[in-house]
Amino acid sequence: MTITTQAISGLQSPSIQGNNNQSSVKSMTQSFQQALSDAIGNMNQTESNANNQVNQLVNGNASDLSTVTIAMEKSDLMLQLAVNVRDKVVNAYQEVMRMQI
Amino acid sequence: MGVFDGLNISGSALTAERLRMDVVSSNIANADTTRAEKVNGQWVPYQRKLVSFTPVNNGSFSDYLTNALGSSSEGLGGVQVSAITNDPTPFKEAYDPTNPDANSSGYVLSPNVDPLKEMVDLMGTQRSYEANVTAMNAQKSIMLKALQIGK
Repeated sequence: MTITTQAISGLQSPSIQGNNNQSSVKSMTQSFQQALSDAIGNMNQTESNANNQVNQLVNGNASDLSTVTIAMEKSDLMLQLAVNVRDKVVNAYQEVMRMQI
Repeated sequence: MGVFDGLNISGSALTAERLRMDVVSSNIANADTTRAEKVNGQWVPYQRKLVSFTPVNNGSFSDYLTNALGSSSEGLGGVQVSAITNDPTPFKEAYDPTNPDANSSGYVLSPNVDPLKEMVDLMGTQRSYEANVTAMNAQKSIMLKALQIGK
């Protein structure tokens, strides 16, 4: 009797592990999605700030040429960071998709 | 410390040095201004202006928290101009009783601006501006190198 119950409980465990695998994959893709959207949001904010400062410089309202240049450099760096994050996320997704079932 | 704190520190230094350059330009331009402002009904010549810098914290919450808890903060931060003060050295005097600006003894007071000192200040400001730009370029190249990790 005890042997059969142990066998039945042993049969149940792989399906539970299968559910854990699916939820971990979903959470992984969701965290990557959030990282990508965060990166895009930050980049958008710094780029709009740089655009505003350049507009102010053209209109003659800017107080400093150096602040405008620094804002442009910051937006350039954020863009390259976002491109890098996108590359890594896409690579990770492709790696996961390539896994043999 | 955030990612862009180095750039912000150098940026504050660039702004402060530009203000110092403006003050030096004002000193040079007003080197012969004998009637700058009226004090007690008498014209006073232009006084040479001096700029004093002070360090500034980043203003982040963690800085205030560490200061409030008693432990010393790192003291890293940018720079800002704290005051533009007058130089207390006495005015230059020249004896010229025919000048309309002459005082009762016949002396004309002119500003205490020495063009040689202003030229030296100009060169010093320019060099420190270039040094800050070099520091900022080094920061940016470090960040670009960091983005190449794993390539």
